[in-house]
Amino acid sequence: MIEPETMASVRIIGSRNSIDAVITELHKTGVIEIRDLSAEIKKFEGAIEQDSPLAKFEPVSKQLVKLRGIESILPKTKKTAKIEASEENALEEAEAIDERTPFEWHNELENTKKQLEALKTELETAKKLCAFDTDFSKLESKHLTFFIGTIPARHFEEAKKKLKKIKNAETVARKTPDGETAVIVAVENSQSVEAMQALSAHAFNRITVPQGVNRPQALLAELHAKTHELEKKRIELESKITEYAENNYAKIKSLVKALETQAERAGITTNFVRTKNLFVLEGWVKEKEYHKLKLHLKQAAGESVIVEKVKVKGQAPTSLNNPSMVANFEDLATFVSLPKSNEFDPTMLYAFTFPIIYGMMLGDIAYGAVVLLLGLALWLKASGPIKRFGFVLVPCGVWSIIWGAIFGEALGFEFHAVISRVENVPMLLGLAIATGALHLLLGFTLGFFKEIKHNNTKHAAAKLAWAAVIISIGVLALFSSSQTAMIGAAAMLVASIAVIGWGEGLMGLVEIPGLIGNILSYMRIAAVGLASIALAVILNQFTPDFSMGIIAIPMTILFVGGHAFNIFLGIFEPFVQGSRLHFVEFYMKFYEGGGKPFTPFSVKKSK
Amino acid sequence: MVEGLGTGLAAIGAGIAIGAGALGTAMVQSAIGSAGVGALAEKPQVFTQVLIYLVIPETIVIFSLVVAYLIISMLGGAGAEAVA
Repeated sequence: MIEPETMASVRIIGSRNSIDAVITELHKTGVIEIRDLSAEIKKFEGAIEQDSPLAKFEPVSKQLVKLRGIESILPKTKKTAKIEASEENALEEAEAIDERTPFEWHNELENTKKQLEALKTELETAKKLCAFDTDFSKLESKHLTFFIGTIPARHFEEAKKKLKKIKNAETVARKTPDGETAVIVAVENSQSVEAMQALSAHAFNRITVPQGVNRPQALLAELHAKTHELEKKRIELESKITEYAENNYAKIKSLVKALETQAERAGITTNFVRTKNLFVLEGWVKEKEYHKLKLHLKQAAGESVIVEKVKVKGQAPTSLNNPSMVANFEDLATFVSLPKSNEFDPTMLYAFTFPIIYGMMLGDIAYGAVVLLLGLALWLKASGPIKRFGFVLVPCGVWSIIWGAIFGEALGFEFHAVISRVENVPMLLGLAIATGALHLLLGFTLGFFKEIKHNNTKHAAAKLAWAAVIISIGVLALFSSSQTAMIGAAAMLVASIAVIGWGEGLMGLVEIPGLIGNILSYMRIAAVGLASIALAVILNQFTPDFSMGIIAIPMTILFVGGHAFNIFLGIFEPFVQGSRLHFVEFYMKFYEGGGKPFTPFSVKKSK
Repeated sequence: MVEGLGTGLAAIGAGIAIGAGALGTAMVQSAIGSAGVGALAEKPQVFTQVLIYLVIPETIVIFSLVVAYLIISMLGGAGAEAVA
């Protein structure tokens, strides 16, 4: 609970005949994280070599690529029944699927769409040319240049003036249906550059008349017919593909899943090493699942496989081991970093202390109820991380209500208070600092046990000395009237500092003022709460008074909006500050982090 | 409660203590924050270190709070009304 799962490093040696059975069994059981041995091959000096993927890896990958290709071009359809492909026949079934048909349809469809796009542009052009009832095939001459195109109506007059200045230029203009002016300009070849300049200065859009066109109306009809034909083809192809998808999509999807499993199994062997007749693999299992693994492998491969524990250097992966309720806090507690497999898992403590500190900051019965209800709603209705977050909010809400009752606050209004936050600020600050001191004491205690576990006696003694520093400072502050207590505390302080110097060296001594900073940092518990109250008190001065007439309206807005904002801050800010107190002040006393998550070789659960 | 010019000046002093402390924290955090985000973009594993560097200067404003509180309580004992 307070520590992650104990991991055991295992080595599995087997005859090559049983490699398939062993891999399948490991994959199904899903308890081992297989290590890559290829990097350690050098130490065997050629006696063994890195294993290669199993023979079926290649055909399986090939089929996988093919099926994923088909999957990507098919529309996602929900009309099909769910099919579970059997693992044994997946490869044969995949090979039987002909990918040419769907791909041909797909390519043809893409082509048709492109053609339709091109036709659309041609149609636009033809529509514009329809303004002239001219046979365009006659607009050709050795001596003349023709400009055919459109000019926005508002520019036409200007352009016309300019064109008039060009010698022998002729302009014919017609209005097009979309409000532009279509023009045909004829100039002598020698004037063509000048004419082009005049036109392009006025947003002239030149149209290239398609080859072999006589009259634009005829062209328009022809293009319409072509579009119609292509549209029909497009719909036909789309329905073909949809039908194919309805019949095959589910099958392809389940085959992809089955093949992915097979590819994973066939490819994992690159992490193994081999001799002519043997294969060797190593990995991590949870200590408690070691016997299960051994048993399963015996059943699957009999005497041809040996499972044994081995000692290896290097860090074991981390698998957290918390009761399901506490596990909801794992996301938050290990947010900064996952613990290493051999250090303390802070989740349990986080789950205990975080809600207390959160409640102390929020400290309001009504706000606490809001947090509690929000948490319950998320926990019961949502799923995944949000659900877990909802669960975290529940104890936070409960503690907010408890502290709210102690501080006597609801919605920023005070009633019978045990400790009044507004009137007794020194008490509140003292409470915050005391909380900090206790929290840090807990941290140092954990640090002490951690160092003992790792046989670092010197560091362990230093951790105890740090705890003693906190206690002696506490005594000095609280019992200043008793001379005996003062002398005792001072002596303890000096002795502790000496032990820290011995245990952690100069760096430890330098850190001592930092400890004061750490403790004072917990004053934010009081500060966040006070800020929230101060805001609420100010807002309550704007309680709407309807005898004041029109002024009551902005007052109401300010009152309601302000309190909504304050509730939001009240819920959000304790989360940030509370987490920070844990991650920075608390964790630094015992926590290293930097663990790698345990990812066993297993069949992926379908979504 | 001590009245007069001295009280006013002391109250202003308390305000300056918090205000300057907060400004100092903000300036330092802006520098650390932008550098930290840059570091995170390159190397997400350093999240812990970045977070810790980022929150170190927050202590300054907490010290400011202590100083301000001491000034206020020096003026009138509890000083609670002034804080609220």
